Amino acid sequence: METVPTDYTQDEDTRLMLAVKAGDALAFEELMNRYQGKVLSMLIHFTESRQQAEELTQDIFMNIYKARGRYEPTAKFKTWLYKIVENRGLNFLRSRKRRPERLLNTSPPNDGGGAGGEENLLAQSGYLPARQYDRAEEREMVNLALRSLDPRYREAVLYHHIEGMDYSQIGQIMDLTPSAVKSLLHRARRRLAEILAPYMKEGKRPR
Amino acid sequence: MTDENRDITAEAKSSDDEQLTAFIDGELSDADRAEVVERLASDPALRVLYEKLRAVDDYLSRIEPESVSPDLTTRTMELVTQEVRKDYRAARTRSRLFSLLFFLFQAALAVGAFFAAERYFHWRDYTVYSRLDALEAVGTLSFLKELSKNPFFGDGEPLSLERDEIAPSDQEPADAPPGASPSAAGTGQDESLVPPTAELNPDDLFLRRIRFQSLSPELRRKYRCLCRAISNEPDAERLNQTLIRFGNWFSERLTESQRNRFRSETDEENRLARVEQLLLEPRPRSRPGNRLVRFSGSPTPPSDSPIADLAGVMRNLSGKEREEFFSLPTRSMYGTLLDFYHRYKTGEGGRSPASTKRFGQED
Repeated sequence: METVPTDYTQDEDTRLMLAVKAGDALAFEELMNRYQGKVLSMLIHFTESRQQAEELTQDIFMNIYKARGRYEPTAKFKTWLYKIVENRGLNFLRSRKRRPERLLNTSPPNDGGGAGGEENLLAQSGYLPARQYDRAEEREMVNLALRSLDPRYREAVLYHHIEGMDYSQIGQIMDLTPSAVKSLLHRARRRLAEILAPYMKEGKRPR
Repeated sequence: MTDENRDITAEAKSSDDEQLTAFIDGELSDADRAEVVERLASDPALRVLYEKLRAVDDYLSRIEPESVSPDLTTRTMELVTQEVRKDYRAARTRSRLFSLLFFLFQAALAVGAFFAAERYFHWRDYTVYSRLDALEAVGTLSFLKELSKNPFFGDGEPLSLERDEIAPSDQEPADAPPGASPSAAGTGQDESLVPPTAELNPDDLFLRRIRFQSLSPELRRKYRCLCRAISNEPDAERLNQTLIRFGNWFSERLTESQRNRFRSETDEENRLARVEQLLLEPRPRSRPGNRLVRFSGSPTPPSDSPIADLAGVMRNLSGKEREEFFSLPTRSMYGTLLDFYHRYKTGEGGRSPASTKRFGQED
């Protein structure tokens, strides 16, 4: 059966990117405002360094701007963007495996600001029962738990929870079927449940 | 299905509870949702798992995108601005280069078009330049057709209208019009069969062009039309020969006053009569500048040249005979001379004596 090509120009972000292609730099600023934080969040989970994540984020957006002339709306902008982010993130992980010595002194996430480093967070964990409802702290615990996940699990979870993508969209980015994405997310959640269990029960930091 | 897809699905199938995740994520159909709700109601272990997954989902929902420092946005936008400027400069350079190339192309095109047009108009009008004297004298196609019936200009073998006194061929006739071309006549070649560029030397051509271009547009159009009309005639070659002969005779043999007399006639019949009269008028005395006109290109006049013979007859006439002859009506003069000539050629009459018998009673 012949498939009808999808018209992605109905997507607002795709239209903005087409405006960028036509030379509208303000449209690009709008896209940056929409996605820079989310991209940065994804890359922090890949790189475990805010500084490197910022550099990668900047690099990704600059490359997108430079290559704007070749942009074709073959998918929703978000899907297209996160495919780039995933490639860059996986490339980073591969290069880190090849050259581990370069990352010996890598700062942990949020080293540039926020609620403090991991050590600080661990030091504070003893006081967690008293602050059980501190949402910022819970966020940090979740981030810690995510970092101990397999990168593929983590990636799927972040797409689903940060970007609100459904299984089909995640599958497009990660080259998986929706059924495989469902399995991946299920296993990720079961693993997170195990990691977060001590914190949820006793306020202990996740291992 | 990729290997990764297969592995993930196979592993998850073993637990068979991944529907709970899809249930939490709102990815199930209504029927599947109803089935999960039913299972949760009847399976306490499954309900415990559901609670765990739900709690994790609550925690995950607290993940927020990282806050972006304004510095990062500013730095990125600065890079974008630099890129925009670079693009603008490159586009401006390209645009200028393109404009320059376009201008050069247009200029080359204009120069080429100018030369092509010049060449085209030159080529188109070449025949008109080279026959301008004749065209001016002939004026109309019908007159040329009438002339072509005349044995001296048209019918029969090419006639030699050479004078018996040969003037130096490199001297211009004193009363020749400025555009007249003795060289064209002197080649003795049929102009209609010769490539135009081989006919005239550049100086002569230039003078003729100037003269042609100085004419009024109407006249220029008229002569072009006449040329075209001649070439469209079935016997164009013969008409062209007549035109050339007549033109050369007109410009080289006649005096300025004779030419003016001819031009003063507007009626075609009168003009024809005038030509016949002028053919028989005594040639003006040969002057250093009054040169030989060659129509056939022969270096010496042939012995049976009718004009040479007629000129001889005219010379042999006494003053009185000449006076009587010229007192005849023009048409009679011409016919009389032709009759004499034909009788002479067929041997029916003597040379000079026959003429004396006919033209004068006194010897």
